[in-house]
Amino acid sequence: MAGAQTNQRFKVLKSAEPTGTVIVMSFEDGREARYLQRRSQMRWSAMQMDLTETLCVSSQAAARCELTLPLVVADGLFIWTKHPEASRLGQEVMYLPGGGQPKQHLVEQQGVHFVSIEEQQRLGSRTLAGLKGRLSCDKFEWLTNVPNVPGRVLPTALSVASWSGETNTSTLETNVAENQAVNGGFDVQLSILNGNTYQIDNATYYTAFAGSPALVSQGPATLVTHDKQGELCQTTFNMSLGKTTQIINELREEIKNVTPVQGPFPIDILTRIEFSMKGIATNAESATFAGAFE
Amino acid sequence: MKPLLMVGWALSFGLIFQAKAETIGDFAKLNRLSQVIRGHGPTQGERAELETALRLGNGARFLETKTDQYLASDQHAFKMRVRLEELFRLKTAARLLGREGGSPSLFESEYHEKNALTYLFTEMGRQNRSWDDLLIAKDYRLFPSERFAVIQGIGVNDYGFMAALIPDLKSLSGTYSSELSNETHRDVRFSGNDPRVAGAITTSRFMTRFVTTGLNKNRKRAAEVFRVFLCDSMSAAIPSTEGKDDQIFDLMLPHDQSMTENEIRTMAQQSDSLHGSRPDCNACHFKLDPMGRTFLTSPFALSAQASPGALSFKRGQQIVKVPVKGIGELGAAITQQPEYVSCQVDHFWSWFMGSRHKLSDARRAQLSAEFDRVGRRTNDFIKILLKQPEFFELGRLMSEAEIRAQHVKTFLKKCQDCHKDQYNSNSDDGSFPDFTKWPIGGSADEMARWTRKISRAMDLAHDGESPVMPPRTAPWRTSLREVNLLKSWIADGAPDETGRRTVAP
Repeated sequence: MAGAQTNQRFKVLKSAEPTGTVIVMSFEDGREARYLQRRSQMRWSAMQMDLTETLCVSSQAAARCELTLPLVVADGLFIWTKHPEASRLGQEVMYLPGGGQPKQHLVEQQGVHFVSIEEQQRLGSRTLAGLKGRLSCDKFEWLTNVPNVPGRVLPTALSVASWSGETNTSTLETNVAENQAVNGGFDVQLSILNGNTYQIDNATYYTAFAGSPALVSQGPATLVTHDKQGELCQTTFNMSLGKTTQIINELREEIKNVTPVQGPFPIDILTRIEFSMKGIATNAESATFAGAFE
Repeated sequence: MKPLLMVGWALSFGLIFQAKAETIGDFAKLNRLSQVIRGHGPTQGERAELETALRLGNGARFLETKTDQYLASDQHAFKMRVRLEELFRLKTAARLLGREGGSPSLFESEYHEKNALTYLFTEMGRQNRSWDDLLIAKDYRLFPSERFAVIQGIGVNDYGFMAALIPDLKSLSGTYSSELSNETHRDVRFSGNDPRVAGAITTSRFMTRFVTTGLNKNRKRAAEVFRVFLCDSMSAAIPSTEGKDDQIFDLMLPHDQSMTENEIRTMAQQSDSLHGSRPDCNACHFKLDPMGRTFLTSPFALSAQASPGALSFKRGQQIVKVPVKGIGELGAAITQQPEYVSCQVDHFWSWFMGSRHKLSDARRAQLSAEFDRVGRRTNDFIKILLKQPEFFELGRLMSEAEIRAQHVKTFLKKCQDCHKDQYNSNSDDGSFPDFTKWPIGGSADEMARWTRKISRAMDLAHDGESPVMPPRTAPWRTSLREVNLLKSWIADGAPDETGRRTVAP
């Protein structure tokens, strides 16, 4: 059976268990595979944010900020739990598309999780409690309307009406790639930690681009806040992810040696992207692939 | 017997002839009604029914009944949806059905079919909704399309888009949880004075089509609202009046290939700042920026916090400025402007009469009153248009002079879109004349002056080799065909539609 270039039909079965949702691919021929995850250690990552334009204060208050978020790298894979060949049990399910194409990992993409409030909102705070992101700046006039003078007293709590990040991508309407705001949060609440650092406490709403974190973007980030008159205004930053990319690459290598387990992440948005890349939706009742699994 | 037979034959022939003439006209009418309303011809059965109705002398009544039936059909609702998709420059349903080439993916089909905007567009014809609903509707049918939300990773589905306003949608949007809703859709309604929602322009599909950035500041969205609802097309061009073209051009499109993305962004911001500081640019920005502000808090999804702004535009030499608390009030403010009404009448005229019949100012005013009289209801206004004499008239052939003048005006309209609101330091009132209304500037002398200026700006003497207009920063270029058209037209004395010269050659 293994390696046969035939269409193999299977069902996707889901069940809720204390460790999270269990996903099983159940093949017509009796084979079964279970979805497991690998997860790296958590690392803190600081992303540089340089203010490029603010309409919140009259003077162009140049500021250099740092957004610090904890992150982990995770990926998912299907492991054979029922297979006529005993040697395949516990091994990763590989996909053979046929047509002379090489076999592939069923789940190809590794996901980068910035463990922050959006993660906690998505995944629950069970495993992530207490890990809050931080925003540090050398000058905070753009956010607080408090001039950068010795002895300044910054507000203890603030809210960012909208925090959006840009990515260069196309939409289904135009199929033309362009910079656009695609992810971010509304009503992002900050509380002061010390003289130049705010902690990111919460937000009433987040959305993320393709499983990426809500507050991190490859392109500029724009924050809508209030000016001295209480009117909405915007400040834009260039983001630099250089150091973060390095950390992510290190963690990607790290998880290759991690034993896959059920959870601790529940099935999340990333998982569905991974499934979908191969045309399997987690809510699909069944699927047929032009190819085979071994 | 023979004379009687003759009389009988003559009578029969006469009747047949008369009936045939009428029949031909009525069949053509039925065909046109069906084509324009439903997008396809009448069925054989309908033709037979018409024949019977004509025999019974009920032809007119039959056509009226059929008009009502056609307007109540799904095909009409679909056709209106496609018209609106084209108007909003969205990917049309016809394209997705493969009628315009290309085959959509499953994702594309699901995304385009199941979203609040497509639903609203379809309902305009299906429910005979008020046309104003495109700007003021507070009720939506939302769809939790999974693929739109996560596979393409582009934008959010309706549930995710509205989740900040309706918190329990959050867990069903696919953004926060893998457990998508089992709901196929959800109907939601906001209060009539909610400043955060405004019909079509606060839908995920609209905002995904017209995306924004920190640099763009929602001007693209504002420009679209002006174009669709006030027929005010704005070009992103930077006119060349201060000799800074090259400077701006270099900033916008840096030549140095070794520049980093951040450097290019910084350059673009400098360009934006330079651009924004020029009075010429302010001609568009005084309109775009206050409207763009109403979208400020909603860059990627709809925010629960409304953002104040204003509807600002020029009416003649007067500035109209209506402060609004958010997009919702913006939509309502637009529907109260006469420019909105005449603009929508123009759209309908173009859809139902085509380009065969020009809409005069007087007819536009008359139809605008009718639009209001029927409560701006989609199908009710269409019925009024269908009763206009032009609807069943065959288009007459245009003269050569008319065709030429129309081509020249089409070209000059592109110039007009950019110049119409600019400050003209050489005029008493600071405005540019309408290049599509001849004589330009209102007199033969002015027409001569403007055609000379156009000729110089386009460098017609050298076949457009070194033009100043359109500026290098404009998104369009003049073709050689257009250069030749303008050159020969001016050389011939800039003749109008009747062939009469407006300036001495």
